[in-house]
Amino acid sequence: MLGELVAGAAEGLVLVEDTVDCEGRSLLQSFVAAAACRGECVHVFGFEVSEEEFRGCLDPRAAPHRVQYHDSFHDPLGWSGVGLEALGAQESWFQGLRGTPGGAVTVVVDSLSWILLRQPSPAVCQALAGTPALMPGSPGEEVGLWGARVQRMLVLLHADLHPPGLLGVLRSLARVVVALASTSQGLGVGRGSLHLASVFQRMRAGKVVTKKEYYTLQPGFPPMSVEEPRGPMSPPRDDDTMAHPGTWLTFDPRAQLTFNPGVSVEQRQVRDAMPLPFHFSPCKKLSVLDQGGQIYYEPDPGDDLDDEDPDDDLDV
Amino acid sequence: MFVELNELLHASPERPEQGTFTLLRDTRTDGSFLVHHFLSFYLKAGCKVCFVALIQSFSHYNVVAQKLGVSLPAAKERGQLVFLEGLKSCFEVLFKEEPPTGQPNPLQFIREGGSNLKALYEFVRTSLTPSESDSWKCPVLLVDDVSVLLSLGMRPVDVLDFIHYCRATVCSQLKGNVVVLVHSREDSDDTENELVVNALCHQSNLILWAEGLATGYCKDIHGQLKIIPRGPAVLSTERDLPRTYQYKIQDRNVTFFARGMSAAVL
Repeated sequence: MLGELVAGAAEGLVLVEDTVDCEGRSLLQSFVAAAACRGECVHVFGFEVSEEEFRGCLDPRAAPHRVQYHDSFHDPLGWSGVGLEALGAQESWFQGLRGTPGGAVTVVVDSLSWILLRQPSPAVCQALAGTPALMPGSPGEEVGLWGARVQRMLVLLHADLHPPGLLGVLRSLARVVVALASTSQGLGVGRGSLHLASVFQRMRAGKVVTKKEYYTLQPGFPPMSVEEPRGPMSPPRDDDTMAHPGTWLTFDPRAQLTFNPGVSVEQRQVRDAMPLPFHFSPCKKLSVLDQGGQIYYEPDPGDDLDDEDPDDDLDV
Repeated sequence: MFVELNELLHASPERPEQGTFTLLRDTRTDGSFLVHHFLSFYLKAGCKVCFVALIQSFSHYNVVAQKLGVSLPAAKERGQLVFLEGLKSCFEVLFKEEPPTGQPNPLQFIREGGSNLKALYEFVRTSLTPSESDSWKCPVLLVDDVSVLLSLGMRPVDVLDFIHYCRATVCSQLKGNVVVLVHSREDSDDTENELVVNALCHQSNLILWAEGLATGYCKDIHGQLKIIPRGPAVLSTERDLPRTYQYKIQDRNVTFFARGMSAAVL
């Protein structure tokens, strides 16, 4: 499902939530590279990394001229006198879209957390909600913003920096939410690490699709889904249990073991017939004891040998 | 400079990395030995160092640096080290008249309520901008430690803005390095400090997280160090996986060993 979203199925406001344990910028760059390869204009508003660093990790096959980077990293507050102003204002976000030729446009904000920490969150949410293309249920092609048609807005959000209430508001605004989490499974296929993505998508018809899947990222390739989690990897949270009652109760913990804890009747018979190494059977006793034996003793040169009987003074 | 730590980080003073933001984080223990390591490492590497020392006095850092084979007064004299002694500057800001002309005190935000850390950033920028006669390898900013700025009344966003501008200038424009120490405690109610710690973790390229042992004080194991490289997921390799070592601080050195492999245990 993640591959389909990257390939263009995601429209409207797309929220990529990451945490300290699992960074989401690489997945965001996969979206950017895929959009550029499809021929869309991509406008990246970068607040957290420089243009050099952002472009350094982009797929080199993605047309770089289609990706326009609006540098808000070096002087976002105007301390050096050349920065942006009024970051929360919707107009300033889209100043760079002026003059964009007609056609589908993808807007990328890296990251929304940077803005939310510095601007009143109601103003930012209003700016997001006020963009008609990004409203849930409204198709993207309706909108013309300075002549450009904003098809999707990709937003990176550091979920561990904001209160749950604000996260809930942002999720309600989004058409697609991709929440990332790290796994304890180390390296997956090839060189890329294995991550867990929880995808939530509102379809145009109102249907809601949720899915969890493992994915891995390779340089120059779109994200590759490896497999879906088989059952909960950890005890579910309270809200998960409420949403899917019975899932945890029917889960068999023996299904994921690497060994078989049960023993069949035949296996038990074979096991019982197996002689144990410490069992002193009669035949083993015969083989050990009936051969006789003799003790040879060769004194060392330094031994103090005494021919006298050591017990001759015992008057017993 | 601790040789074993250099080996764990694959670092060498002959070829210091450039453009990295390293976050030193300590929980239930004192991670200042990491600050002393990086101070001596970058001075030995021939980098220009701006040290914003808000916790200890110059003489304290000098005593430790001498044990690690570096003389801070000599580094100051030859222009390699710019040392901002926070304890002294605070006193000057609060109890001395401001000179009518000249540079404003970098810590003037203490007296001006509601101001930001722009003056401190300007101090860092002017200190590390190379002049034509400089022959140092790359500029380095060291901050010990960021949590003090919160204690002095700054808002978390002000601290994040300061670090952001330092990253943009030192790491991105000047191709140098930034090393910052921050205290954290996951079970504390200090939400402002935890916000700063998490936000800095998101921005960092490398996290060195010193933690006290969960079992309490031990004479032979002083804590454990998590090395967490943070880079693009597509470029991650086996070497970039998080690793954890236990350590013991000695008089002039720190020894690292795998968990449970202390000589005192075996």
